[in-house]
Amino acid sequence: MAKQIVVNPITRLEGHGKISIFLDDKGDVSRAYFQIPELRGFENFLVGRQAEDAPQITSRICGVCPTAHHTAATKALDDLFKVDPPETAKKIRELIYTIFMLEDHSLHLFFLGGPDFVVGPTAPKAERNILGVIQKVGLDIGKRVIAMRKDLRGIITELGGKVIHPVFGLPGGVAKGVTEEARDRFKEVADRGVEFALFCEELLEDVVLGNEDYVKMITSDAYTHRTYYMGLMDSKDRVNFYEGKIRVVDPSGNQVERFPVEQYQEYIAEHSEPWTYVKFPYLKKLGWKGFVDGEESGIYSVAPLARLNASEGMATPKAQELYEKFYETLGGRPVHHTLANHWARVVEIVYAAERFHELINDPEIIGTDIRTIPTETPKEGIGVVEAPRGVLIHHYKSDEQGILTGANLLVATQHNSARIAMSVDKAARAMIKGGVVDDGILNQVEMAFRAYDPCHACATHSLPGHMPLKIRIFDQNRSLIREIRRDG
Amino acid sequence: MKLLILCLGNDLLGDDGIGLEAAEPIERAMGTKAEVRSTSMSGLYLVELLEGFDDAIVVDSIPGDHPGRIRELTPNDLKPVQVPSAHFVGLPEAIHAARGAGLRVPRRFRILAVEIPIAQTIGASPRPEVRGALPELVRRVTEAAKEWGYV
Repeated sequence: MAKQIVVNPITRLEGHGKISIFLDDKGDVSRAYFQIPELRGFENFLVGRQAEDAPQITSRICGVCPTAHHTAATKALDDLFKVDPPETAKKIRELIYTIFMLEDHSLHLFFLGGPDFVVGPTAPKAERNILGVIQKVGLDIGKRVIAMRKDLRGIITELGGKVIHPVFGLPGGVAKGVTEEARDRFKEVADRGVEFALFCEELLEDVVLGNEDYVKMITSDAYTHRTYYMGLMDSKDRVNFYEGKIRVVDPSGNQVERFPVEQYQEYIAEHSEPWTYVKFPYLKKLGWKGFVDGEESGIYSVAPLARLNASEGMATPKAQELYEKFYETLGGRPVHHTLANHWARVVEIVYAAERFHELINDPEIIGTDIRTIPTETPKEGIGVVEAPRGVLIHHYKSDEQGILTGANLLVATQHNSARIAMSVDKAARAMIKGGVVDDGILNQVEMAFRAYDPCHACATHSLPGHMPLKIRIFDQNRSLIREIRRDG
Repeated sequence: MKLLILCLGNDLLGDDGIGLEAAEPIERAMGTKAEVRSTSMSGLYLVELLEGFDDAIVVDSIPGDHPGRIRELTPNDLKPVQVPSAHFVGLPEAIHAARGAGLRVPRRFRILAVEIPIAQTIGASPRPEVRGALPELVRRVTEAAKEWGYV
């Protein structure tokens, strides 16, 4: 079927994400495709630049997660210059990174996940936004969320050194230490951060898990794929956002791979399709078997649910409790329900808050040894972090002067792209029957990928800055019968 | 009364950096009469920058057919939409969310956008015809501030 369908590649001209749904003669779905424009070229832009510029350049790739790119690039520079940062520097980096994860996850929970769950997936479109969430949970809560994010952003700005983009990361350490005075102020924010995280968890329990219909929806077959899962783990195989080994588990939860990021090319390969520029990574050992799930298929996923699935637990006490509850409620590890990403994200919010609290109360955080000066000749470096949306790898090559000669960035959404494609197709098949397509149904199709919070063309900034979705529905003769733009 | 001049853009997307380049001359022209902030961050991150001001002038780029031409948009041109990802949130959604949450964000907006070619490419600075808009852009920002009584 796929070869009969010609879908023009999306260009930056349109600035739209696009879902194309092809119906058969009964009005059921024969295949649905999800495409979003992608801006590549940052890799080329890096060539010929000084390696030390990479954390600044790559942090501009994304208007939402500069800290993730900055930190992955900084770690790649540690490797490039073969230099090990002092403990205090590592802790400061992890501190900033953990705060970033906390604020980014909370943004997602309230702004994107919230509307689906708090307001309801079939609620009128106009209510399914953060205002709907605020109306439902109360104005005070909305203010509290925004105030908390502001405090967290304030710390990142202060420690990161610059309002627009962080500039703290240097090969071998960080540019600035934490003073005792700042530490004391941040401690107070960390206390509130933990309270805030637990409040997010309570909200999820009350509003979402207390509602049988939501739980049914989360666990419905339409949003379920039995794939492999990948995440960055500490030495005890607990989730770690900043460092560790990459672990992969199979659809039954058994470890199949555990490797340092430097070896990623031995484990991950990419597959191309004619209908999209996006490349689909898969596990080399299993090979590409098409858009299918199961033990035989090399498709894997990343992001909060995948991280939890790939781990044996969480490294902080309250998050561990919630981790156990998560798997008890959803029938054991691994959980294959895509929509459980929202709940997994809340478990990570609690972990991030607790870890922030631990790090800011660590006596070493105010140490003054924050930089090991590189002395080795650079050649090749690879760095990894867990971005909010999953494993993020930066890989650089340089000449002996430290001028970059090559770069490869493997971003989280890429790892997930095959699973997202399957999710959209599966959800469309499950929801659209007999040619009936309404707004609530389309939203449920969109929910399939919203749970991943995909990030493709995020570098653009021109007004209005947003990217609505265009949904096109074709009949059995491949004629366009309906086009819906999600811009009101 | 407090006026914010918010300059938006991505300095690695060549022409899209025009808003950021405008920040410095605007700051020189405005002195202490307004606060000039510039950022490449997007979406809800803008909420934090908008908070605490009565009025705002936004300077940004917009894809169009005449690179370098300055267009003024009204807030009505920027209706919020439902977007599928935090990465797709733009200025309209940010304003809408902030107002909805009861935050003190500007009541009045003037939006000045420099047209840039529709196809964006990665590069270090805006092309000459886009950059050529800077003097007029600064003048129009100053005029707008004057109309509101800030200058």
